[in-house]
Amino acid sequence: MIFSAFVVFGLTVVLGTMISVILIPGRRNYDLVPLWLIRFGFGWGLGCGLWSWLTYLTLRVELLGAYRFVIELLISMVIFLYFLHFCFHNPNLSKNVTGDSPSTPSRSFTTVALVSIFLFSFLVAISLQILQSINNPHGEWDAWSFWNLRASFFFYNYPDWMTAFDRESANSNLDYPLFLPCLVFRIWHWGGANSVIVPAMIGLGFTIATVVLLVGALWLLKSMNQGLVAGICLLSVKMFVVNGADQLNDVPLAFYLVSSIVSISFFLINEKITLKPLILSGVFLGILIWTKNDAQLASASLVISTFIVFVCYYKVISFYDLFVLLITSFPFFVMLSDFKINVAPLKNAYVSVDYWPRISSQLLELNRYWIILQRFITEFFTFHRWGYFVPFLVLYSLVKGFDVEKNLKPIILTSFMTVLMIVAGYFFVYVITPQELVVHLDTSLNRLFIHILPTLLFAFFLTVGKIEKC
Amino acid sequence: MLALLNMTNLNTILYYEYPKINSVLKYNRIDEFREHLQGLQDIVGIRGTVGYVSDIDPHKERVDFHKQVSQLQYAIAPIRIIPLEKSKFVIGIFNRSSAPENVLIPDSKLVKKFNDSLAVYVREVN
Repeated sequence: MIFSAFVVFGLTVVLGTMISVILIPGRRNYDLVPLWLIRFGFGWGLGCGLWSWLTYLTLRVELLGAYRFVIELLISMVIFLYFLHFCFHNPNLSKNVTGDSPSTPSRSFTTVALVSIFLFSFLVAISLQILQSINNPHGEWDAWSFWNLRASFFFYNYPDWMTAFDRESANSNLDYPLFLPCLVFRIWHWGGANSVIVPAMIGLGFTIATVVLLVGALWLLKSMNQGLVAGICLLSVKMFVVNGADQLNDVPLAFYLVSSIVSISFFLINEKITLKPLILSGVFLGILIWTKNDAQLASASLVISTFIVFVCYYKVISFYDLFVLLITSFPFFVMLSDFKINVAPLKNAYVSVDYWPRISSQLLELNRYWIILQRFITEFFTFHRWGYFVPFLVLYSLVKGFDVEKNLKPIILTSFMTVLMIVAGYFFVYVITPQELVVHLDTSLNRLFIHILPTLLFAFFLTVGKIEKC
Repeated sequence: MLALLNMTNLNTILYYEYPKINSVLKYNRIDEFREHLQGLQDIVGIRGTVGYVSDIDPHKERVDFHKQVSQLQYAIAPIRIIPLEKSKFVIGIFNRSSAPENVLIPDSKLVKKFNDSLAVYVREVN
C-alpha cells in the first residue's frame, strides 16, 4: 500500500506539474529555481484537485471499475502528449525567452543564514508532522468524523457510495464538499486498502506545497531572501504545521486561495500576453470551492476583490479576462451545485427562513460582537498558536519600511482586500451562528486563520522593503 | 533581526511543540474499536446498522458522547449507526462499568461481549 501510495502521488505531481508548465511558461528574466518551485507547488495542487474532481464525476455518472481506469489513463496520456508537444514547440522552456541571464542568487551572509534557517525549519516541521502522524494516525476530530469517514463509506460500499449520505446514520455534516473524501477514496481504491498513510501524505504534501509556492512566488516577484523569510514565518506557525498531520482540510483551502492569487500575478507580470495563467487561476478558484464550505466565502471574496481592484480601479484586467477566469472555474461550480442539490441537500441553518427570528435577535446582541472582536484580536496575537512571528513582522516593517513596486500594487491590494473580506465574513458568520458562540469560536477560529495565513504573508512580504541585510 | 527570526522559529517549533508531540502516544480509540469489534460484521452484516448506548451522559457530557459515537462510526464503517429506536442490534460501550447482560432498552439480549466494556445486544424492533 505504501508503494502504491507513493507511485500514485508521484504520478499526480508529475501530471499536475506538466499542466502547470504548460500554463506557466518561463519568460523574460525568470529565475529557474523559483519558477520550478512554483510549478511543483502548483503541480501538487492541480494533480490532487483535478483527480478529486474526476473521481466525483465518475462516481456521479457511474463510470466504474475498468472504465474509470481507462478514462484516467487516457486523460494522463493526453496531458503527457500535449506536454511533449508543448516542450517540442517551446525550446526555450527552460531558458528565459529574452536570453538575459537569470539573476544569480546572492551569497551574502544574510542569504546563507536564511537558507540555513529555512532548511532547518523545513526539516524540523516535516519531522514534526511525520511524528504527529505516527502518534495520531487517524488525525483529529474532523478527519474521522467526516472527511475520512466519507472516504471509508465510498471505499467499502463502492459502487453503492451514496450510503455515505444516509441522513439517519451518525454521519454528520453531510453537505461538506468532497475534495478530500474523493481524493482519499480514489487512492485507497487504487491501493486496495484504507491505509492511514494516504490522508497523512495528502496533509504533508499540501503543507510542503504551500511553503514551496510561497517561497517561490516571493522569490520571483520580490527577492530570494523575502521568500525565505516568509517561508520561515509560515513554518514557525504551530497550527499550520500540525494541521496537515491532523488530516484536516484547512491547509488545502489556504493553498488554493494563495495559488489563485499567485496565478493572477503571473498574468499581470507577463504583461497579459497570454491568458494561460488566468485559466490556471480559474482552475484553482474552482478547486478552492470544492474543498470546504468556508471556501465559498474565500472564493467569493477573491472574485469580488479581483473585480474591484483589477477590473474597476486599476483596469489591468478586462471584463473578458475576468470572464475567462470565471468560466474556467465553472465546471467545479457545476459539480458543487450538483453535490449540494442532488447528493446532500440540507437545510442551511445560517440562511434558512425558519431561522430568521433567531438570526435577527443575534444580530442585535452587541455583546456577541464584543466577544467575537476580542477573540479575533487575541487569536491574531496569541503566541502559542501563531508563534512569535507577528511581533517579528511588526519589527520587520518598522526596520525595513515599505517598498511597493508599481506593477505589484494591484496584487497586494487584491490580496489584502480578499483577506479582509474573508475575516469580515467569518466575523458575521460567528454573529449569526446557530451553535453556542464560545464553543464555535473555540473549535474553529484558529483554523480559520490558517486559511488566510499564506495569502497574508504573501501580501505582507510584497509590501515591505527587501531584506538584504539583517 | 536574523537572530529574532531564528528565535521565532526555534521557540515555536522546538520549545513549544516538540516535547508535546514527542511525549506519550495518544490513546488510539479507533484502532481499539476496530480490533475488538472485528466480529461485528458477522453479526449485523457488512452493510448492517446498529444503535449505540453508552454510560456517557449525552446531555451532561455532550462532547465526549459525540466524540465516542463518531470514533465508533469511523471504526465500524460501512456499518452505520442509526437512532436507537430503529435498530435491531445495539452496541454498548461502558467506560465506567463492565457491560451488563442487558442494556437500558427493554427486551434486549446480549449477543456478544467483545471485552469488558464493549458488547452487542439484539432486540425486537417493529
